[in-house]
Formats: sequence, C-alpha cells, structure tokens
Amino acid sequence: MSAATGALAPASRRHLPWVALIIVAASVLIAVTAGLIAPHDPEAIDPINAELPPVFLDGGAWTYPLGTDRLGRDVLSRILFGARLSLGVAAVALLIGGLVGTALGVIAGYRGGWVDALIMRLADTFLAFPSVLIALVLAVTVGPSFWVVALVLGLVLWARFARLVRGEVLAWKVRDFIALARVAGARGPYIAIHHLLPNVVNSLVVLCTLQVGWAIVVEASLTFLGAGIPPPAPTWGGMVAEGLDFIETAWWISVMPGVAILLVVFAFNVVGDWLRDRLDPQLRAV
Amino acid sequence: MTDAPLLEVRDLTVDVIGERGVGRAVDGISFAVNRSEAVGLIGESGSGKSLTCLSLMRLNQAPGTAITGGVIEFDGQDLLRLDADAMRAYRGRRIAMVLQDPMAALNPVLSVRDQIGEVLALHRGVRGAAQEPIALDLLQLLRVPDPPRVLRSYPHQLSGGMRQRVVSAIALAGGPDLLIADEPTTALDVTVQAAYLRLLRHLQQEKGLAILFVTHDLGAIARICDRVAVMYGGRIVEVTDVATIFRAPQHPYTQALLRSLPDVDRRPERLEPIPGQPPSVLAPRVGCPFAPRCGEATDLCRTEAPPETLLAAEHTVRCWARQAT
Amino acid sequence: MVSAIASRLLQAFLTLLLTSVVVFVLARTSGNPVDLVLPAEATPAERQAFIERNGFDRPLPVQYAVFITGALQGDFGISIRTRQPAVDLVMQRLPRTLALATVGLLVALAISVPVGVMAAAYRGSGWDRFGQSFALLGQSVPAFWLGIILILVFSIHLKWLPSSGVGGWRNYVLPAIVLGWSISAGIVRLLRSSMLDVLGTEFVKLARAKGLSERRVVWKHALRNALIPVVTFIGFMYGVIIASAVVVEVVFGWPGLGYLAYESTLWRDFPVLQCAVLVYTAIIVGINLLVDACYGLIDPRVRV
Repeated sequence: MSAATGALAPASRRHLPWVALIIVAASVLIAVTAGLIAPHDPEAIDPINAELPPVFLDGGAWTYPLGTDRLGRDVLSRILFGARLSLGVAAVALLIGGLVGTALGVIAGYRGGWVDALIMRLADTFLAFPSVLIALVLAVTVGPSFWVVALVLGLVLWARFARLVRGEVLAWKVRDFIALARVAGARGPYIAIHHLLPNVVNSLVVLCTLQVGWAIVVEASLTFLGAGIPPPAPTWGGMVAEGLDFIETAWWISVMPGVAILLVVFAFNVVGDWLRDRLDPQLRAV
Repeated sequence: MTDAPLLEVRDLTVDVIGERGVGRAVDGISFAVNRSEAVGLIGESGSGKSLTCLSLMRLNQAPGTAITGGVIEFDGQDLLRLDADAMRAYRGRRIAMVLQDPMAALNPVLSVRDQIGEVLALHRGVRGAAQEPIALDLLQLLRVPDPPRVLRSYPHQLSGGMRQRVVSAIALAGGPDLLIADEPTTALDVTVQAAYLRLLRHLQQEKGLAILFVTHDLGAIARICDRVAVMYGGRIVEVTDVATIFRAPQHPYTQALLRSLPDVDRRPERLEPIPGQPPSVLAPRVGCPFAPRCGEATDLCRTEAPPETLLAAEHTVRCWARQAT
Repeated sequence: MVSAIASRLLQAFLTLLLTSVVVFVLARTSGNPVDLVLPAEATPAERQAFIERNGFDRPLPVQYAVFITGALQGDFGISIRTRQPAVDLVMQRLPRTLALATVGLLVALAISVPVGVMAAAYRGSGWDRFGQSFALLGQSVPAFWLGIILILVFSIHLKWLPSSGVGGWRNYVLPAIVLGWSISAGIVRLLRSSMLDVLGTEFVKLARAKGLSERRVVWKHALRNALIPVVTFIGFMYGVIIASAVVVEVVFGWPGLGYLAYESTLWRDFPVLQCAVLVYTAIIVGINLLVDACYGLIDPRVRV
C-alpha cells in the first residue's frame, strides 16, 4: 500500500532527489576547485569597496556578485572557499567517527557480552555529551582549529556509527553464511572484514550522507561561537558571525553564507533520505 | 416489517488495491442475519471473511481497500448510502464489534473504566459517576469476577480471557442489535474459549442479540450458531442451518472442511487435509474459485462461475455439480 | 525495572564523570594550567599558593580528586574577569537559561505535535508532505542563521519584537521560536512514525468500531500511545535544546548560562567556563533522570 501511495506522489517529490544530487555534486566540485573558480582572493582586503551590496540591489556590481563584507572581501569567493572548509571538516569528522565507530560497532556486535555492554554504554554517554560545550572548553585550552572541530564532531559521530553497525552485525551474525564461515574455520577478524562489513556498507553510506548535513551545521555553529575554525579563514559560520554587527546596514554579509549552508545541508539530507528509502528500509528509525 | 432480516447483504463487492494491482477480495456476496439470530461465517484465512466484517461497519481500510458494489441493508437502511457522520451513529450503537486479538484490542494507556465509559457517554449520554453502575452491570453480565477491580484496571493487568470479556462489555455498552464477532476465540486458551462461547450464546438467547460469528473453526460454529454461511475465495459457496451443515453438507468445499475436522467418532488417521492452496486475491477470477482443489471439478467449473441454487428451504449452494433437479 | 533504573543512574554518573575528566584533563595538559585559571596580573605568591593547593607536582589522579572534591562543594575557583566565585556567576545566569529552554520546548511541542499527528493521520496527503518538508527544513536551517533572519524581519523591518535582551514576554518570542525550531524536526519525525505504528493497531480499529469520531480516535486513543516514545525522548531533547541555547543566547543577547559560557570563551575565563560546562551537564543528566522517573505518568504499564 505504501508503494501505491508512493507512486501517486507528485512529480516534485520524484524530482527533488535529483535536484538535491546535483547540488551535492556541485558543492563537492566547488570545494575541490574553489581556487580555480573564485573570482577573488577570499582573504584579500579592499577597504574602498567595503560593504558593497550584491548585484541585484542598488549600488551592486558584477565585480562582487554577492557584495562585499566590512573589509571589502568578496562574499561569493569566501562562500566558495567556505565550501572547502565545511565539507572538509565534515569529511575528516566522518572519517574519524566512521572508522572508530564501525570498528567498535563490529566488535560490540560480534563479541557480545560485557564487551558489547561496555561499548554501548560508552556510546550512549557520548551521544548525551554536550559537544558544543566541550568545543568551547577546547577553544580556550587548546585553541580553536580545523582539527579541534573535526575531533569534537568525531566524538559524537563514532557513537552513532557504533550503534548502527552493532545493530546490523547482530542481525547478520545469525545468518547461515556466517555460521558456515565459522564452521569452515575462519577467524573472527576475517569474518568481520570479509563477511559482515560488505553487508553493512549500504547502511554506512546512508548514515554518512545523513550526517554530513549535521556536521556542517554543528561546525558552522561552533565557528559562529568562535570555537570553530578561527578567522580569517573563510567559513560560513564565521561569516554569519562577522555580519551580525552589520545586520541593519549590510544584511547580505550574514544572510548569504546562511543560504549556502541551508542549500548544501538540505541537499545532503534529501539525498540521504532518498538513499535510505532505496537502499536500506530498516534504517528508517535512525 | 418485523420479519424482515436485521441485516441483509446483497452482492457486496470489496476490492483490495495492492502494489501489484487490484484484487477482488469479496466477490458479490449475499447473506442475511435475522433479529436475535446467530449466523456463522466460516472460511479459511484469506477467504475474505474479516474484510467482510470490517466492510459491514465501513471500517475497511482506505485507500488499501474499497467497497465497489452491493447493498448493506441494516434495519431497512442501506449503510453504504449514509454519510460519514450518520454511519458513525450506527457503529457501537446499533452494530458492535469484537475483534480477533483481545491482547491488542484494548488501548494500553486507558483504564477499562475509561474505555467502557467512552461508549456510554457517546451512545447513551451517560457521563461521570453515573457510568460506574452501568459499567459494573456490563462486566457482571459478562461474568467478569470482581468487576470493581477490573473496572479500575489497565489492560496489561488482565488475562486474555478477561480482556476479551472487557472488549465484549465495550461492544455491548452501546446496546447494539447486532454483534459482529471476528474470530473472538482464536487467541484464547481452549477452556477459556468454551466459556466465552457459552457466554455469547447466552447473550444471544437472553438479550435477543443478533450475532454474526466469523471463524475458521467449525467446532465453534456448532456451539453457537443457528445458521452458517461458508465462504471460499471471496464468495459465499453454501448457506444452510447448522444441523444440515454437519449432517448433509452439499458444497464440495464444505464437505472437505468437515473431513478435515477431528471428531470423536472418527479416528485421527482419517483426517483429510484439503489439498492445494486457497486462491490468491490477485489471481484472475474465472470459474469456481474452488475448482483447482475440487475432486469433482469439470471444464465448466473452470470456465464459468456457478450460480446460487436453492436446494431446499434455507439451503443455498453455489456448485455446478449440485444443481437442483 | 530495578535494573533499568540502575542502568540509568550508571549512565548519568558516567556522563558526569566523563565530562569532568575531559574538562580537567584539557585544563591540566594544555599549556600552563596556572595561566588558565589565574588572572594574568596574579602575584607570584598567589601563583605559588594555587600550585600548592592543587598539588600540580602530584600525579594527575590525585589532582583530579582535589578538583572534584572542590567542585562538589561548589568551589570552581574565581572568575578571571570579575573576580567573583565562578559558581555564583553561573547560578545567577542559570534560571534565565532554564526559563528560555522550557519555553522553547513548549514552543517545539506546540508546533511539532499537531504537524506530526496530522502528517500521520492523513498519510500521503498535503499535511503529510508539509510535515515531511518541515522536518527536512528543520534539520537544514542552522539555528543561529534562522535567529538572524527573524531579527531582520521582525525586529529591524517590522519593528514588532525586540532583537535582544530580557524584559517582558516579547523578549521570549523570537529566541523561543528559534530554540523550538531546532528540535521540532526531530519530534515531527519521531511522532509521525510512532503515530503511523499506533494507527495500524487493533485498539484503534476498535475505537473506530465504537463509533468514536475520527478526531477523538486520533487525538485521544492514538496520540496518547504515540507520545510514549516522544516522552522518553524529551530528556534527550532538553539536552539538545540547552546546547542550542548557547547559540541562540548569543544571537539574541540573552544573558543566560550559554551566553556566559560564550563570554568566558572570549575572555578566556576558564574557571567560569569550566563551572558552566559541568553545571550544564549536570542539568542535562538530571532532566533525563527526571523524565525517566515521570515515564509512568503516561504509560500505565511501567507504573510500579
């Protein structure tokens, strides 16, 4: 019945994933080639052209399509370079969280018993962890940086990965082919890598996609608070924060990077939902 | 008009709209239930009997299923012509229902008192403290031990048999003329089953309640019903009184059903399961639905659906091999 | 039941322990802890006294014991900025954050419960599409940016509501909406799927067979059951909301605990930050326990 209603869904719902996929691909491409396509140096200061409005407003010019900030830096170029930092942090955080979480999840699910209990308690604890606050503490003690943000995100992400992978391993462990491998004399780590992991890959891809958006939003929030990637690096969260004081006169400084966050995060979430529905119906609860 | 049946169903057709197409789950069935009469509707799972029940109250799931034709006349009113509000006035008030699984049929977060009281308020305008004595009487009527305690209980605190009695008390709270019982005993222990069936029979005889008893269990039919309709593959294949169905069943399916029933007179090795599988709802409907499993099937059976034949007073059958001579 | 309670308490204890250890280790291992905790203009004598009191020459576990004993007695040191005890500053700000977070939670429930219920009750309809789009947008719009947009529209252009500060109820409106927004998406998703489960049950069928109106079936019979997983989630949501409160308080200049933590970060006022983080964690943990304890109110099956 659900498929029947799905088939009746309007065209907009069927095309949305493709639009989102294009945005995702474009953002990745921009992140990689920002240096080639950005019209200006994102950190070049031009005081004469400070707080220039975007081209579609009175006084705007094509030289600075999305206007300039209070130091006369090109908003568009900073947004393009910001994609590199935002997606970069998300990628590093997912790599850390994904590797640690998957490994611990496989161990927890495969070994069971007290190992499982310990790892899952720990995962629950990290999920309840106030990551924003820890990031603030890190900003004061260690100093804010790209790697600190990636680490803080990874601290929460590993627990999400561990939970998912453990659940899947528990479900797959009881299947016949795993028992067969064990009877054939395969050892634990071999079974985990050759038999269990390939079956979990779908779910991992879905979870990664769904978490990119989360990671970008949290990174932007931390940077906004001054606990993320420090200035003068062009970051979306940082740009919004810098523009806050000029919101009445030059709203575009804050609003434009926010639109970039919204578009990219929205696109990743749509693609994630779409992948989940296609690849992995069991994951709906996550 | 008093001898007109309480419920008369004519050519009721219900379609199931599935992922792989539309199937006719209930295919033009007709039957009647008289006042104060217990009628059994028997069939295997998938024969369309549960869907028939839900359709009678127009509670069949939309958009998954749709009533596409026929007449459901209750006390002279065609229920299919009523608007949603008018239909709701019949539910619980004139026609009540007891569902298959008493474990799942009660709302776990509401007390028994709330769940009975709700019907009293809705259909009898009884509110507040005045509900208490009526609810206690209802539980008493259903022979629930210690009614005051049960009334305060939540469903999880009651046993399966007790829950089924509470569900029945809820059904009777609106003072209905017809009770539709959809496999009410399937989920119960055998001893509890017998007691519950006796209770239903008692209610029917003492209170003048008409019952449509839906089951796959011929034994239960024998205990409680006056007449029986046998359903197979979305059609009613035989209707007769309960004595005839056991003594002289006519339709090959009914006969096969009886042979598959354990009996004190017959040794277990003589039990004969019916060969083959009941038809899929989505299968194309040509000929008699039972033909693929019927020992007497002819080419005619496989190509053309048999008409309803009146064999004797109150005994109809749909079978090419049982045409009245 | 007992083991569930024990497990919850253990969880709460672990979270607090972990947070305090992380904060402690970060403070002691990065650079010079004396500079972190004492003002730059502290005299050498003050520095010496501090080192002796905390035993910086002793092993880390011993130092931790000293730290945690002090913390349990409310001694988190002196604010570098204001020279007041850190715990006093934190406690002053705490009520404002709790008030804002609670209003935010109520706003979230007021928005997301109707949306989630309607999306499930009219599955596949316009309501459902609205609910799903709402959930998707809710996850995609960062709270701080939404706050700025609302200030632009409602404070700067329309001049309806104040953009910052505390005072009357009008000051609550925008920050509470942003806070509520930040968790609404999660509630809508959770409630929609749990409503769909409940609407398929036998007791909902029976409620309809009783002749109850669809409104009563959905809002009384189904919703009460569908809320059970949502309530378990509220403790978690409160944690999320308090964490987003940091950002929201900064955007709206709301002088609560989150703003204090932000200021302390800017001023490198570590004693205050450390105290704020631990009090924050304690509150999140405490609310989680409280929600678990109240669980029986909505679900009679777990009443003892």
